[in-house]
Amino acid sequence: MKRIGKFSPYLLIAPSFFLSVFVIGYPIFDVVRMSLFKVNRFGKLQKFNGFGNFTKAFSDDVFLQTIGQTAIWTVSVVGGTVLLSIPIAMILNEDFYGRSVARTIILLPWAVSLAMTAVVWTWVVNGDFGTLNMTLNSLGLMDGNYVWLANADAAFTIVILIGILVSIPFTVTIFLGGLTSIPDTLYEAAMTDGASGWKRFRYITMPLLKPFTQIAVVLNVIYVFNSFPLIWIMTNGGPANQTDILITYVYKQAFRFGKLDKAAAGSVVMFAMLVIFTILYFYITRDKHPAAKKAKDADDAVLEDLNVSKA
Amino acid sequence: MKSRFLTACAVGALIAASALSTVGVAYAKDTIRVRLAEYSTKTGPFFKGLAEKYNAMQDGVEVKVEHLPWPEMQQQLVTDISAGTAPDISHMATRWMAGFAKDGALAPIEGLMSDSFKQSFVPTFLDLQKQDGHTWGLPIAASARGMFINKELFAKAGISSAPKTWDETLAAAKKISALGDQIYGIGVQGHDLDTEGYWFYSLWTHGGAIIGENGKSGFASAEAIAATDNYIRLIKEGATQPGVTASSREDLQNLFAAGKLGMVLSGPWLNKQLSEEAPNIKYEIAAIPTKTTSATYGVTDTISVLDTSQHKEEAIKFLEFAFNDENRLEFGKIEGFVPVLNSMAKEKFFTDDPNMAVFLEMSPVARFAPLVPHWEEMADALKAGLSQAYSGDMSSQDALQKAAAKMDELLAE
Amino acid sequence: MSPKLKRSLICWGLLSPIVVVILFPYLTMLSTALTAKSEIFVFEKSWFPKVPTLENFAMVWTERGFGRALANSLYISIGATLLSVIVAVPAAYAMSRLHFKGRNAYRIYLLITQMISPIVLIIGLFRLFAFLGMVNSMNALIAAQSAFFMAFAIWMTASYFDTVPKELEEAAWLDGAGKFTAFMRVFLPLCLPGIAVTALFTFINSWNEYALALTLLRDNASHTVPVAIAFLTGTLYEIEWNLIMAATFMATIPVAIIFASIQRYLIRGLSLGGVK
Repeated sequence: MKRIGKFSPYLLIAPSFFLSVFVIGYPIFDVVRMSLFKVNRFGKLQKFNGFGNFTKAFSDDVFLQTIGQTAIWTVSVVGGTVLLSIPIAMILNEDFYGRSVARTIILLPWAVSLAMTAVVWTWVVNGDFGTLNMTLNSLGLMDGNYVWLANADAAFTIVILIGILVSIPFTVTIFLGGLTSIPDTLYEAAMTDGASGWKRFRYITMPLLKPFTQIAVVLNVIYVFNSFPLIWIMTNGGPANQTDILITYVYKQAFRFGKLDKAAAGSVVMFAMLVIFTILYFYITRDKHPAAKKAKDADDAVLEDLNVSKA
Repeated sequence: MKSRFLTACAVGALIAASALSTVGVAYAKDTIRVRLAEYSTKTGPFFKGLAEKYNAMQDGVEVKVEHLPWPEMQQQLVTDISAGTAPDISHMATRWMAGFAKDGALAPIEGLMSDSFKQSFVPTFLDLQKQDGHTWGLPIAASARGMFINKELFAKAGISSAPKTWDETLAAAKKISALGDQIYGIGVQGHDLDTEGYWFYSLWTHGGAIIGENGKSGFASAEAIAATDNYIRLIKEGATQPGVTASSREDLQNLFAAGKLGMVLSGPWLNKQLSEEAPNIKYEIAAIPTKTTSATYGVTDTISVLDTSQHKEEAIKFLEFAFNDENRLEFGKIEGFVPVLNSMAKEKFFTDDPNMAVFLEMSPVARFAPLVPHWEEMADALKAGLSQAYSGDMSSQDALQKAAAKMDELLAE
Repeated sequence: MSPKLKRSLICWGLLSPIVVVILFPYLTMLSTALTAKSEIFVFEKSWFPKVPTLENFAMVWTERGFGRALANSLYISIGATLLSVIVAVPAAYAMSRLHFKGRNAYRIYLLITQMISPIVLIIGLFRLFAFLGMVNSMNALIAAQSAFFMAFAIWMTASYFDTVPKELEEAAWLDGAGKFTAFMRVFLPLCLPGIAVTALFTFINSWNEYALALTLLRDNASHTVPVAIAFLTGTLYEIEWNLIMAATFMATIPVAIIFASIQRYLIRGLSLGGVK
């Protein structure tokens, strides 16, 4: 057996590494630099400003309000997505007639770009000409037209629901992958032990899905936190900035108001928030049962848990 | 330092890059790039046609036209200027011009224009392009605003003539709304582009001003509060469409086209849309209702020569061609704007059609948005305040004071 | 009633609300796309246009250059897919099979590349590509998109590699095959389904990508489908919903068909347990 060359792993990752450094390296440097300088609206550096841009951002009420809204947006979309995706994935993992049709339908929102989804939904919820009001009226569920995006709470709820809808395909796919990796023998063993459906879910499915949940949460948080088109196209942050999130705020500062320095500082803050979140999340959810990581090794540990609870 | 870092970043991948790069931005020396934003789907083709004609007329330069929609215009222009790839000539909203000029992106053109060219413009419109003693661009489009009235709905509600004051407007709008069946008296805009413009109609006709005599924001003056309460009264009495804070300019126009709105304040372009989408709507256009003062909102867009252009003189020559009588008449017919050239003011197209002429007649009372560097951000703060006032989340006074404070802060910057 | 039939009814019953919500916009798209412009803003709205028309499709196709945009998108998506897979496969192999110093660091690095949205990098990206003279180059867009999609491609491929037993390769080594030969002859063929899924996933991401395409391709002739559709919504004084819906519908159908045909593999290939 030949020995693995000492450098070969580095050669193997080199193309991907250099591609990403080439494309993302300078832009990141550019943003960080702009965040530390006074910059004109075309990104020309004027003078070193230390943390001045950051102080300016944090003394802006709208920025602070936007941070809160970003938290609501991210937590609601990711939370809703994960909570809905687990049962959906479990249903889709059952053997039933038309399963592949059902799977395809659930995956469908993935096939459309977010920008297009946003445009279509804007039209769907349009007060006077949209199909939503039309349908609710003809089903007798509503009388008259409701203007869904006029009120900040309703508008935010709508974009959050659509955010959940478009995050479900990806998340369900992750969980389905996880569910197919749980061997049936585990459930059979639990059934012979007389464990109820809930117990099987609580003590087999849940622990074994944990690594998948972790991934689903982290990746979704990253994507949702940075998600621009839905809000930008549907509400443009309005009414009265009440549906703005950080990414739309930063974009407005940069390209509408010509405040590239403040926008750059905001971008750096956004990045820092994601890094801190990821570290914290992985730390909090770190494996206390290292054995639970791989399904095969986990059989014993899980069955042990089951027995304990039966006792 | 910037370029050294760039080089360092790029070196490793340059080999790959050079293999990949095919198109590049190697513009020939004698090319003049002109960038335009689209008013309609006809804007791009019209200017491409102009460029072709011009290129065939002379051998000095080749004009190339690029066109894109307004919402992407600002981002693309900013990135282009920041990277040094800006076109020679660019179209923009006049309200961006002050900031762009202040940051050195535009070339002053008063020295490049011949006297006869300067004098061909309606002075009000050309003056709007001037600041700090320089002319930063030409008024490529201008519009005034009026009140569109659905005659059929007026007849049904038993109203015989167009309302002249806001009180009459309220009475008429209530009667029309009372027709029921998703018919609304008057449209009030509360969302997206130009929401602030819709408010200016009320502000100016109540005698208010955007910048007060003391040089500070007029957003929270007594007149401004009265102007806002004027709209709130319409909303509260059920005389407007529902969901004002979600209604954009396009939404209102669509409602009017569908025959659901009795009145809407809009500009000459709506004539075009109505003739294409709703040829059966019978309407007329009246002046904007008044309280104390008659006024309308005049808006221009600008076409400027960029400071980085190597062909400023040639650029102006092309603009001179684009602004000749024949081409401007054609442009007016396609887009339906108010003429910006003196010679056009007597043109039959603009004077014979009552739905065009009304905008010309209102021109003398036109007011304009101020040319200040951070106008876009001030307008945004105003929009947010109006949203809160219209929805009843805040009293008009509090909401406007917040917007005024923001504006004063930005004026001082 | 057989148990499976009963189970099927329950499953479909539970899924029905979300199925309705997912399909609703598609029906809206279709209904509006078949409606003539003069019937869009009328007093009495209905799901069914009085005179269904295919005119909108034809109009989008011929007058608004949608065919050109489709061709551009196809070129860019295929290019981005190839490039992503080419850089991802070796990296994924290293991440899945080889133990080396810095493997964890590289994992974290990949996660970090996902944390930065292209939106906040627009200025820098544009400056970089303008400096290289690569604005308006579709190949530059391919490189840029691949840089953002690569991390995900590596995770997916690596997690698939994890499912292939090591013994198979080792047997090939024992037969005297070199590492590279064993990889090409034994390992890679086994992993093709996983790589195919990664490729399709990347294709769809690229097909739908907007921010980078808008930033780097300025020429009207080089627009991609999402940009072309966004530009349809952007003329100043009116929004042509009938055309937008026709264009969106056309852009969606091919991807939906791809999804329908690969969903089985997609789910198996996405066992993303190995991301962390």
